[in-house]
Amino acid sequence: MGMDETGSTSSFKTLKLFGGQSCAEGEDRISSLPDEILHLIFSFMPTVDAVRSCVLSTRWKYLWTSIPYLDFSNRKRTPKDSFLNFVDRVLSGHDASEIQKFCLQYEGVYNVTRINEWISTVMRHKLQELDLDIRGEESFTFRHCLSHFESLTILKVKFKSVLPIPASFLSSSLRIVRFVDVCFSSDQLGQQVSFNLPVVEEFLLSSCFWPKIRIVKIYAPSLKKLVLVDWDYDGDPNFETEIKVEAKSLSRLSFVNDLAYDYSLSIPSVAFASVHVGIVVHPDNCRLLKFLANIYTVKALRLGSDTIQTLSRADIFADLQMFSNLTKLEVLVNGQGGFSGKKLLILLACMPNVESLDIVDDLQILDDAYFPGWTHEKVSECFLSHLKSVKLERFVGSENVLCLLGFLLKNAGSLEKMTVISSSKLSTYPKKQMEVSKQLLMLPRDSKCCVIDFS
Amino acid sequence: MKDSFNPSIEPPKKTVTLVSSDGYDFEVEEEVALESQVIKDGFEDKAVDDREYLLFNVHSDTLELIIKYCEKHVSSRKSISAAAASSSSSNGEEALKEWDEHFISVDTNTLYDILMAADYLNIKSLLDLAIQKVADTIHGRSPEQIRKKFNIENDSIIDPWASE
Repeated sequence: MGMDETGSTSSFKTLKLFGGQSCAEGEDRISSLPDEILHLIFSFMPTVDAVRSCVLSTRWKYLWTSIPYLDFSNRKRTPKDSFLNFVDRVLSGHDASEIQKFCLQYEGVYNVTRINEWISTVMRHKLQELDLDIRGEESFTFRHCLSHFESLTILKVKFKSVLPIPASFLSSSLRIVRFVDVCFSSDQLGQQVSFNLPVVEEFLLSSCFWPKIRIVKIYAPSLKKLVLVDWDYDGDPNFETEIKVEAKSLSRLSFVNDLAYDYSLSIPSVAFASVHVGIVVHPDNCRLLKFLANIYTVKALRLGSDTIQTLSRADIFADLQMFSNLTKLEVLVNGQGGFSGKKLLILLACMPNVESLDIVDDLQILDDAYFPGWTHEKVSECFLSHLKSVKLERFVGSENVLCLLGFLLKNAGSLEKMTVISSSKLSTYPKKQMEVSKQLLMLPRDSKCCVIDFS
Repeated sequence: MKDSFNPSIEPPKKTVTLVSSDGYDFEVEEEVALESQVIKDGFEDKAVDDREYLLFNVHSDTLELIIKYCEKHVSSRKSISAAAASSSSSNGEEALKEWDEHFISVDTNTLYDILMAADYLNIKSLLDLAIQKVADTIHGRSPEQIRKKFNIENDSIIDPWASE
């Protein structure tokens, strides 16, 4: 079979009894698989294909009526009416057995009023996983309040919709929760809503609205992964919402945000954070500093260059504390603001223990050149002293970046390896590439054992 | 970590014996056998000197493949976590995925045998792999193609969905 044989040496085969395996050629074995296995097979394909199998033979005719995994993804863009009718027919034809998963996915303007009916139906079948991913411009309001879904283990709603929430929501079964584009409505005028999710491990909130809600409290002691995305907030700018998260086991935070909401995160064990902070809507910088205060203990940090620009524009470098546990920094160059090598160095001055620095994306827009005697008030003796590895991807060969690399080579005393990978554009000019490589290799190095790897 | 022991003083690896439905004995390392949730569940109850499992539903030809799969996964997991610990980059997961794909590229009969055995032994990753393979074979094929592929005899004539 052409597989490697290394693993098979420890098992050996000795004959004890006699017996044989009967598997006649041309035998229909799939039809003799138990229903549960056939349902599992169906779970790996869109429901429409599973239901189509009913024509195969009498064995298959009614199998679909007890499928526990329903995946209605209209990827093939079936005409609207036949898609909606299909969902109706499958749900009304389903027998009384449990439905574990209901996934509904489509794009475009559909008549969405039936969705509430469908949800009611699947919830009666002891649903465990609800996944709605609907992209259309219609307005939709859930008939049921969030409490209706407390028995689910997975709840994913990606749908411009209004979901009523109670003042206090408790679920002891939800493990994964994702809300995208959801507008939460509360009749508790004014005020405070709380989510108590003792077993939730993953929680995502993206572009959600909290009209008339002042405080959102999320209590999630088992939470491992938290994603908070809010960009281009177009709600009422005069209304302030504070989002408080208490998650003592959280290890990963992903934060893509322009801080239109006021975040208070209590996440003492966060180890990895990915942060893109854009234009600070709020005039004073306390939200930004307040947010940063939650992540000073991280070990690994991924920053968008927009974040560095934001920090610089807010002029709060002086107020930054030390990221004293941080050993790994990754900078993704993105956004309109450009990337500044000097600002990166200022930031690195607050990160004395960084051992590895990775910079990804083309740096054509690096705006400041020449670092010869660069210094800064925060630069201490241990500045760059732990830096062992620098990696730069998609290098276009610009003078500015060479200056930054030159500065790092000259000042990082324990640097072991610098990896520079050319952008595809630079690779198409071998002559230029060769020239850049020469320049790079000739830069003076402080560390005796530093290897430069250019490709 | 176990790996930090000096190999010369490490006790010989514990083994268990798996007996196939047609009576062949397979002696495998304990950790390989424990890939099966069924064996793992029963493991605590068994006396140390009686670690023999009769697998009435698994033929030796299939069992050999199953063991190969489990051995590969145990050893890959080790090398992947070793690579992660030394923070050296590794494409271990990628390579394993490729190996899996190759492993499951078998004729339909063997595929069923693996599927049924993975279900019986409760080896989740292998069951998923086999089921995915069957699903891929069904997905996107016309009923006639599916019947042909799986030797299904068409004993029904009415297609309740034909109106669509």
